[in-house]
Amino acid sequence: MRHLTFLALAFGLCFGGVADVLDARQRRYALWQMFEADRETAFEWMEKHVDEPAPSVGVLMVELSRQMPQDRREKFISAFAAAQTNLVVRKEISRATTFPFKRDNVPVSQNPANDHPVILVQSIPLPLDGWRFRHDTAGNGHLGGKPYYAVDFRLTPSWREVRIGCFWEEIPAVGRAYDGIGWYRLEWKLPPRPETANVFELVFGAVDEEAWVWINGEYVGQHVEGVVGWNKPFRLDVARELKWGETNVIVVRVNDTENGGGIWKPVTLEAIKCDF
Amino acid sequence: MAAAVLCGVNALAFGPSGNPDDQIRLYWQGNVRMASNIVEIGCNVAMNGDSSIYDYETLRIRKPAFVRKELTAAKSAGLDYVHYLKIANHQALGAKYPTVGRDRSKDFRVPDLSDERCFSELKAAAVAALDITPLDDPNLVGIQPSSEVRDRSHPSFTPMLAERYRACSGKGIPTEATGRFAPNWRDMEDFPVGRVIPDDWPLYDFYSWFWREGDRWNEYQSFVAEEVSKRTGGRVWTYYDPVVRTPPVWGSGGSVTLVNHWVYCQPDPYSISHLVSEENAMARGRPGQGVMVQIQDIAYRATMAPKELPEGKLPPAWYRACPDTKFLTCPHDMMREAIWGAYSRRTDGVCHYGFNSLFGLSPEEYAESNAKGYFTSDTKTREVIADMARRIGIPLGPLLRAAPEHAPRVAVLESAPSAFFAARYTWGWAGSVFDVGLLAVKASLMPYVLYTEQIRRDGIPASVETLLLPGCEVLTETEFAAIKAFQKRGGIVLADMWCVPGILPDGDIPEFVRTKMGDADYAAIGAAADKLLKTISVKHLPYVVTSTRDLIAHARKAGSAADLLVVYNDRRTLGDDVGQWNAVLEKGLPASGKVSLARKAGAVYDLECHCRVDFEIVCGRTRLTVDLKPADGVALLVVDRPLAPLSVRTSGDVVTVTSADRDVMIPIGVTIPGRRTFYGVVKSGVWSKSFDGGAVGASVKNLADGSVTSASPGD
Repeated sequence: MRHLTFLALAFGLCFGGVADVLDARQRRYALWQMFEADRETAFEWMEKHVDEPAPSVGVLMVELSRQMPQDRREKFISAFAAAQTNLVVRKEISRATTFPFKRDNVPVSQNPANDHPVILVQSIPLPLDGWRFRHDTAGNGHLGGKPYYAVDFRLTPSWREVRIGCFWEEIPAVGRAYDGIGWYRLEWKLPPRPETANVFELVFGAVDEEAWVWINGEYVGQHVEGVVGWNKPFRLDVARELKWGETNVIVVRVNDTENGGGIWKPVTLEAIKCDF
Repeated sequence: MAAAVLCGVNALAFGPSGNPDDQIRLYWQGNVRMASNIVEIGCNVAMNGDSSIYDYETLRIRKPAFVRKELTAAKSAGLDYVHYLKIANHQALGAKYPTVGRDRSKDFRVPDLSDERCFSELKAAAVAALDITPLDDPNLVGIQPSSEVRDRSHPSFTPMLAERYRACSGKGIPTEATGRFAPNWRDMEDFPVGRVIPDDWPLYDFYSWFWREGDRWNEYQSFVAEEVSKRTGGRVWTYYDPVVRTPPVWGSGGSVTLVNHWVYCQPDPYSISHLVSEENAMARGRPGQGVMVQIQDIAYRATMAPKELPEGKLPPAWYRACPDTKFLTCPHDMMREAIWGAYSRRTDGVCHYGFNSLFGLSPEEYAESNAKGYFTSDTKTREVIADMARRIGIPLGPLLRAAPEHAPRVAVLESAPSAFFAARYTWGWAGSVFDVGLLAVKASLMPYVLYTEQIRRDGIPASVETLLLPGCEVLTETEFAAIKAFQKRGGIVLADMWCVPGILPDGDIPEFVRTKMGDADYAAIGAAADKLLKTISVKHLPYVVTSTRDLIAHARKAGSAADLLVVYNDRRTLGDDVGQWNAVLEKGLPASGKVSLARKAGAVYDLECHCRVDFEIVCGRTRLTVDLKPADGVALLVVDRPLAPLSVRTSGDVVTVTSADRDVMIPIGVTIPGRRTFYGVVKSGVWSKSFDGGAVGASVKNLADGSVTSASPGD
């Protein structure tokens, strides 16, 4: 009975109208069945229904869009993102379309498997000044033989001196109306390693709105939650990448799609003791 | 379909030395200098926890006399003793044999047990520790090989690991495997559309292997367990914790006799019930393995009272005394409720750990203490633990241990591929998947946790009527097919928006998102549990039903003609100790309501008052009215017919109690003149014990109806 019903519903989806009376669960299943039977029909339906109200269906639409040819997918995602207001769906969109670097970096203080006290030993603020910044309008700064995050990357005049702790729109070198990708870079000498600490986390007060972080050329992690992440602090375990007593290179790629952008709150390195 | 392996009564080959049928009530890592405190709160087993006796360079116990000294002290206090080997210390072994990442970086915090030198050293250390342990002493009842050793386990990408994996699977390690967990399915271009993977999909196969045996910690636990068993003829039991602080893959703890896991009572005290369900799911991978559960008497400050006191709020006494403390005491009402939750489930033991957050230091002692961070913010909590042991835990221990769970009707799938590829872990205490289990507990649905491997081995149990699929973003083909077949046979599937698209659920799991505002979350969980109950009840009336979500009920079989029904009170509000922060609702309130269960009773007995209670039969179900004090509960024996009188006979030093009610488990208290009362349970109509010391007379109290039957020596 279920099978017959949903074949009928799948046809119903093609003619619209029926979709209004189906509940979200059934609509989602029908879309999946349609996709299995005929991808093109499913894609056409998706393109016509970018304002799909049910988050569960919206999330599936993002997933299925991965199977579209690249150009078609970009057009669909662009229209879909403009129409969708649900935060869960927007997060899926952001995740599906964003930068390919990813690392699961779970700080010890946020590790649900950690059942030991986390004691702050020392808090080392990163300097607010001394950062360099450049726009990445082509979105290719991570590519090429010498990507922007490489330790030995040679800075050019395009890399302007900036400070963090404010929106980049407030920095003349960046420009008042800039939305897009920007790269921050800092060379910073670390003090000697605090002896009693065994965990080290880089704590960002907030980055508007997405960030990817490298230390000494090694990718350490990201903060990718879409626009809703603009004011959320996040932290990354950086114990393996830091070089104590030496100059370290910290690179942050930031993506901002609306309003203020950049590393707008301070960044701190926390030395922590945790008895595992 | 093979018969489902249900967690039932074990062979009871292990337990406290004085009464092997009793529950183990262990105080974790207490040091025996706390013996009087441990006895006070009703525990019967002490366990060492003094790190200073170990030399972590050589992995040897530097004070061998310590073990016998601790054992002697435990015996003097009337306690059994468990020796915690504790030589599996990350920092010592890890420094010598670090794990190696894909990028060749070394993690000195995590030892590489796939390196045979490391594993051999660890085993040798365990053997050396056992060599100096008085395993022949009858009061040494248990060994814990290690604890909390897998929290940072991750593959060490060396030829040794690759060789071990190839020997087991015939395959190489997939290149996409780079760390502790698999990449998210969204980040893998070749991930099957629709998210149903073959059971032998390479990444899934690798990570299942790694967590089942690849990091070799389970193998280590097994090695110690088998060594102990060999040396003691199986008398001394072994245990491992925290057993489900891993992905939902069988094997955690290896072949230890018992598994254990601890839970915090905040913000939801009844979470202990769902933790037991998770432990049972893990233990089902090794039929016959026992299950204990541990209640943390400490409470994270971060959960209960994060940061500074909110403006305008009056500071509680503990805040004035020690505002910087990291660990508070579990509030006494939450403790009482959690203990009831533990008693409602079949376990082989209920353990505690409180350290200086339970057996307090004065502010002056705290200031001088080396262990900063633990402060007794609630002095009533230890009284509550003692009270519950006296009232329920000690007299009913054998029954609490013996009465098995019912065949499941509502199951929650904790899917291993969803854990690996969508980070849907619970770690035994938290996350969206665990929260769905909590909703089911709160709705008195008695949820059963199902693992992917159980579906593969046994199928979905035939008794399951409703299957919950929280966060089942990825399924194996076997899981997918089993769920489809389940629906075809009339089973109801409830899922959330993340379920694989090829499953059409029959309904939605009610949404519930934690805001970390105590009162809002408490109300939201109650509303979601209510909705869940209503959704399920449309087709299947649950075995037990309460008239209000303030009352949580759980029933177990006490023989074919009886139920052990535990009902406890979850009605709570903000209190004065941590209520200022509105993070948890610590203060219990009275609650009353009706409870019904699917048995037509002939009599119902209150096992604490040892008396009959009123009930009515409505549509073939037994219905009771329950009035509970704050955080309190009631344990009832619901029987098909009133109990017949017990008979007692003595022959030499053997006391035998018989009952015509062969299909009811009857808790009894046996008093021998001049000795402490001994508690047991009459099963299949008989209970018998030899009391050393010659001819005895005995007085036996039926703890259900309160009747007393006596026998003189030779009767």
